[in-house]
Amino acid sequence: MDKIANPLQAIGELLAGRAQPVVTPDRLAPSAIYDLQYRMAVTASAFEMHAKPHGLNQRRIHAARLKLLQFVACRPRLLAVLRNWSQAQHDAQLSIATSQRLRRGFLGDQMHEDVVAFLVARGILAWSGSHVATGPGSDWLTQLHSATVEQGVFAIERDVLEKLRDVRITNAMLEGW
Amino acid sequence: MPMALVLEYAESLAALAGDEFESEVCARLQAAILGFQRVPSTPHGDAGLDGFSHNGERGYCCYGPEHDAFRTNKQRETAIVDKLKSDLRRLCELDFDRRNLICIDNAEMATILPDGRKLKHISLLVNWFESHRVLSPLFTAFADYRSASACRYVDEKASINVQGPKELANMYAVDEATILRARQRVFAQRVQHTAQTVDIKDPKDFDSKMAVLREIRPDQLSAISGLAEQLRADWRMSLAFERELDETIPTLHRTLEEDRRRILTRVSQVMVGSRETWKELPTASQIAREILEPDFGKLYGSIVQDVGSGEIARLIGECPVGWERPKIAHG
Repeated sequence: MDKIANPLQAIGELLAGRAQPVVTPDRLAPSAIYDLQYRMAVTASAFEMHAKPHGLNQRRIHAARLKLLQFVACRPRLLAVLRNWSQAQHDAQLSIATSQRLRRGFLGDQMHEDVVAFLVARGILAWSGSHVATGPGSDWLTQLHSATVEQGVFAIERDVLEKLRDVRITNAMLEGW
Repeated sequence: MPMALVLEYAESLAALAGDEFESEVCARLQAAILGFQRVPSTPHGDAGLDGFSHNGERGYCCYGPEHDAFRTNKQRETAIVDKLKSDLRRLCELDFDRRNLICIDNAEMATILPDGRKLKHISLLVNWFESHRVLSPLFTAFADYRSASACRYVDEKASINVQGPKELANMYAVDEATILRARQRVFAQRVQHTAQTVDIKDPKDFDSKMAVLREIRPDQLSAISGLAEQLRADWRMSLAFERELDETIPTLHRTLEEDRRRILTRVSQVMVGSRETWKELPTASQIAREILEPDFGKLYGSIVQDVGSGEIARLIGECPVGWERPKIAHG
């Protein structure tokens, strides 16, 4: 089929004088990627499911690992890409080739940095060198994760996080090149 | 790190296919070789030569087969050998009569190479060179072609070589401009590829608007069907563009999100403020393009127009812009 130069003009001509326009600007849903509640919920699940015990009663996770985990959890299609990257670790050239786009993507995820900064400012998380650890208010994070489980929301994201337990993410993958 | 740039560039070249691969190779050679001349395929084909340099003594033939066109490497090898042999035969002005080589006239060559010049070396540039099994068939065939040719445009002692993405990437320095250009091409190609497969999650609002349109204009069913298909294609392009930005360049995705909000506001203002709303509909995609152009035009110029139309199709599909049958006044 030949491409129609201006399909909207054609539709306008078909509708002219025969239909009532309906304009509802509030009907367009913004991308969930910039929804603070959503991003905090995914970050909470990523932290709860992947953080390791540290010291007496703290848990922590490498900041770049958390960033990668939540990035993939929000974009389930990338799970296969991460798996391929992980499996290509023995081959430096193949590894770089398979990871370029994912690396560029998750390293540029500024929204996640903003979410972590917010959680740190609220005392929910705390910086511990290159790691993020539980802060004095970390119970909130646990409660948020539990609530998403109980209410069955963001199940796809949690499913991805669950599958990510079996994907080997090395420090070399996290530290850039 | 320079090594990473070379590898990334090689990977980008390998990811490109068809005209995009040829365009990128020509752009690279143009930047690296003083006097490189690309050969446009108009008005009557490129005569088998995609470019030449050194005042007509070095020739370049490109072939970037589509990645999903072959099921096995063996098939890919065969396709590469067949295509490049065909290019070499045209340069040598040969064709087959049954299984015998016969001389023919490649008239376009006289309009491409400088008078009296013959190609002394031909580089065969491919987007996949992971098998040495293409070499013997090509070198053997070229030796046969030289013997059979009248050698009007190819020197009788001419040589060939085969270069793949790694060789092309390593041959000259890879700078930021080269990488950026390659990334843009790969991005555009990926968006177009993704647009063919991406799912429109909930098209029922869109479908119901098209159903109303069919009710209003039963005399235009075929045209409406074509328009709906075109708008869906544009919508998928917009979704693919968004997905690619989200997965690879989140900072630009945020810019797109802000642009989308501005598009919605501007289009709503125009539609609500007009007495002849439907006359304003064609300007909606122009508004989208005007908003997207400053942020994305330089980087992704070739696809911004389609994305602009796709954004308006999305507004129709996701509800903000629509239509209904006129209400009939009673009493």
